[in-house]
Amino acid sequence: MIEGLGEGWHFAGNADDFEDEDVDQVMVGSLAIAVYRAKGEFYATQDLCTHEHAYLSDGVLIDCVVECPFHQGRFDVRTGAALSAPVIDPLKTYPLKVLGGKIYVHVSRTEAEADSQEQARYGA
Amino acid sequence: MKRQEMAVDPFQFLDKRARKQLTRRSDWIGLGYLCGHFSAVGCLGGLLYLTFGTLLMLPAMLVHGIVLACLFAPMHECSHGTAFRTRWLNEFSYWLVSLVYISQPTWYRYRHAVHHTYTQIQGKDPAMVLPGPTTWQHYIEQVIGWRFWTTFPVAITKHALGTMRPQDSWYVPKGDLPRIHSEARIMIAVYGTVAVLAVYYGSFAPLIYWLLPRMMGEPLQRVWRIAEHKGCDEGPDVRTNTRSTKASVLMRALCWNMPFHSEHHVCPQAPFFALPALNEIVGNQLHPMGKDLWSVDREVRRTCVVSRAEADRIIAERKARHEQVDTSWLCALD
Repeated sequence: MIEGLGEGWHFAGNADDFEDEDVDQVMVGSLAIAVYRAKGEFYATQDLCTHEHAYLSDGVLIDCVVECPFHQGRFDVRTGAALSAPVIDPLKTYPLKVLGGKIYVHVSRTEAEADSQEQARYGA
Repeated sequence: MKRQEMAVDPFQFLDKRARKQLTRRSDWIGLGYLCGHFSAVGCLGGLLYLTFGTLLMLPAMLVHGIVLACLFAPMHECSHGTAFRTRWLNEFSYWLVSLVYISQPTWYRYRHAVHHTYTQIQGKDPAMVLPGPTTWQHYIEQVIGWRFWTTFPVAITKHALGTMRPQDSWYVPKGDLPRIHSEARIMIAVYGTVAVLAVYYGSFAPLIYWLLPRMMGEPLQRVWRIAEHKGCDEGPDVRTNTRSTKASVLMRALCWNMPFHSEHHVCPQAPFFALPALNEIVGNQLHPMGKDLWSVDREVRRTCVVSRAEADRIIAERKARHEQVDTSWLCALD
């Protein structure tokens, strides 16, 4: 457990390492999470696209919209909403905090296990 | 196919920083190209008007048609969302260009996504050009644009009627069908309005300035589609299943740099104007670049087009080896 934070919080990088419109991958166990810096704010979603096997952390972030590198499906990183074909299923979002310049995402153990299994369905 | 099942992960060619640089979008460059393209269409339409009733009318119509048909390039670019940085500008332009080109935006987006996943996989790639074995009949049907005219407008009509071509139904999610149907109805309403106004005013303008030239210009687009993949490997390796082809500055401008087609398949999120830079970085790892469009086409005709008897023999052999053969191509057009 990280000091000052409850159960399920994981270190996800240093805020200073992110320029605006940067996206990076963080692994929590075998679960891939994408961390974004969009318009100065930080967000976290599942990294695997809901359409086909591609990591959004390989994609392009424009304002608050991430674009899948493979087929250019788009998601709002703030809500996970799918915005344009070929994606129709939303992304799962994760709570995120920035404390003392460090980024933390919240994924409980059971959630990480369940989401990893879901991710494995896509062959990650 | 999942990306990890592809023979080569296309994203291995570029590191993260290089990708961020190369995938940066620009409204100004997109607007420059789009305005330039529509200005060319307008000027050549004017030239067609001036030559009306003279012997020069036919060549003027052909050139106007070639530039009109090259609107495939911005349509394709907007379908990827890479033509502009601003989303609404991209979607507005996508609709506008798709209406003129006669392609349904959302349907094309799904179709094209599948083409990028299953490039050159027989029976899976809906945009596969001339799956082998290719006969002269199929080659000619492709080049005259028959395949386009029996696919794109037919799809729009079927969607407007609330149905779908069976070969499209596996890749269009059921949840998005209402949008596909309404979109097609809007397109049919626009085309219908143009037709009604033309009849009401007794005008042949839509035929003379749009449909006839559009048909005359389509063959060049079809030859480009052949050059992009035909004769390349029929397999999942992005390094060998797609070909870039050298082109003049004018043709590259009209095709929004899409002659750099291998580079586009390696990094589909790169906007059209970044493809030459991408070629500098990864070009030597990809399929050898075609010398020019006509050389590639000549080579395709020489090496890939066979007689019907030879095609039947090849299919029988493949079936004996239990290989996948898309025979639908031989009996019915997509």
